[in-house]
Amino acid sequence: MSRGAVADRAPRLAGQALGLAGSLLLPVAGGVVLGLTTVYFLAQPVWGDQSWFLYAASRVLDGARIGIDDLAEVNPPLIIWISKLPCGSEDSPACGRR
Amino acid sequence: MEVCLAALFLLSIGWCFSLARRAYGARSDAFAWWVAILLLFIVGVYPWRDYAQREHLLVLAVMPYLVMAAARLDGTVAPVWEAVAAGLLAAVDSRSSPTTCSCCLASKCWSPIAPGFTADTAGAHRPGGRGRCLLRGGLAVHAGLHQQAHADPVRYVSRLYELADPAGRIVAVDSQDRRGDRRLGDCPASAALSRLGSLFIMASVAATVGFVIQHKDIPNQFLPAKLFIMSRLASCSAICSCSGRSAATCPWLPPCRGRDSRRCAGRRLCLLSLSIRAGAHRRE
Repeated sequence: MSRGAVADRAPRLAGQALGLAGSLLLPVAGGVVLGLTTVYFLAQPVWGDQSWFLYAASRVLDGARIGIDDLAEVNPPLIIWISKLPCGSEDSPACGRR
Repeated sequence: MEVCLAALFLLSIGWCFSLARRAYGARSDAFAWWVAILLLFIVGVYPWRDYAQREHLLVLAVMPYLVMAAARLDGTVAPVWEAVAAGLLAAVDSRSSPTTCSCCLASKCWSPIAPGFTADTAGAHRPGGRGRCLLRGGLAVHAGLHQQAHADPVRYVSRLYELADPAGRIVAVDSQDRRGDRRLGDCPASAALSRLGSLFIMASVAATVGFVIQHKDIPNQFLPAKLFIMSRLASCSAICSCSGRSAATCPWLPPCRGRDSRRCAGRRLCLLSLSIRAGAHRRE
């Protein structure tokens, strides 16, 4: 193969390689991010505020009232109401309602 | 708990993907996929230790609202039911912490003066005044669910205005919508500023203001500000990633090509890695 032909093919091959890399970038990046999210989701650290809200939600489900008497909580009640969702079932481990 | 969080993840990211895809029809597939992947990184990987914190839930819930607002700036108006659903989701979750409602308020106040706001865009706003309906609905939900609103409404309202200063400008913004059409109607179409990016910046600024107002200095309360600014960088990266295909595939952001492309992509990656490094340092 002559040097000229090689010189002609080189940019084309480089372009094809770049195109291939570009087309693979999206699925590879997507796979990595999805995998990391799944791992992080399954290996969650100990929760701070969330644990308290889940506990408070389980107390509210048991009949406690938010305020001063039953459950001292100064945050708006919505987050406790939202936290009732995962505590809905009787044996929900998230809220310690085994 | 995990099931509920996973459902919120799917709802938020899927909704953003759907909105980004619809903004320019089938042509914006690549852009929509990049938006979805980068947003997944921002809400799923970066805030690992703050999973399910109120601030994390806020970002998940507000993201569709912001993307919908950006799409509206581009002239794509979502159906009424979808707009109401996004507004309610954002409003309900904004209510989990008193100061976070400022994120939605800031983006709403910013929309009429955003660089992409032209006569056509204003036309997209006008039918039914959906944005205004959403905001008022959000404020109604806010008031309805706040303990203080029931116990001491006068103090509640004054505190709301004190905490979220933009709330005081809502009426002014609404009444200026039409004047804004004329004043900004001549904006060049090539206003090279990102609509989506500018909305994220406003949300980030509002979240920072909320963080400062609280005077608590708890790091996770700064999370929404960081995540919104990272979303702005991510949206820039998304446009750089697909700018080689065609300008039409990449709405919302200015295309960058050639040497400029490499330079701006590098700059954005540096900023993104610095943000991640700062977050990792905090965790240590």
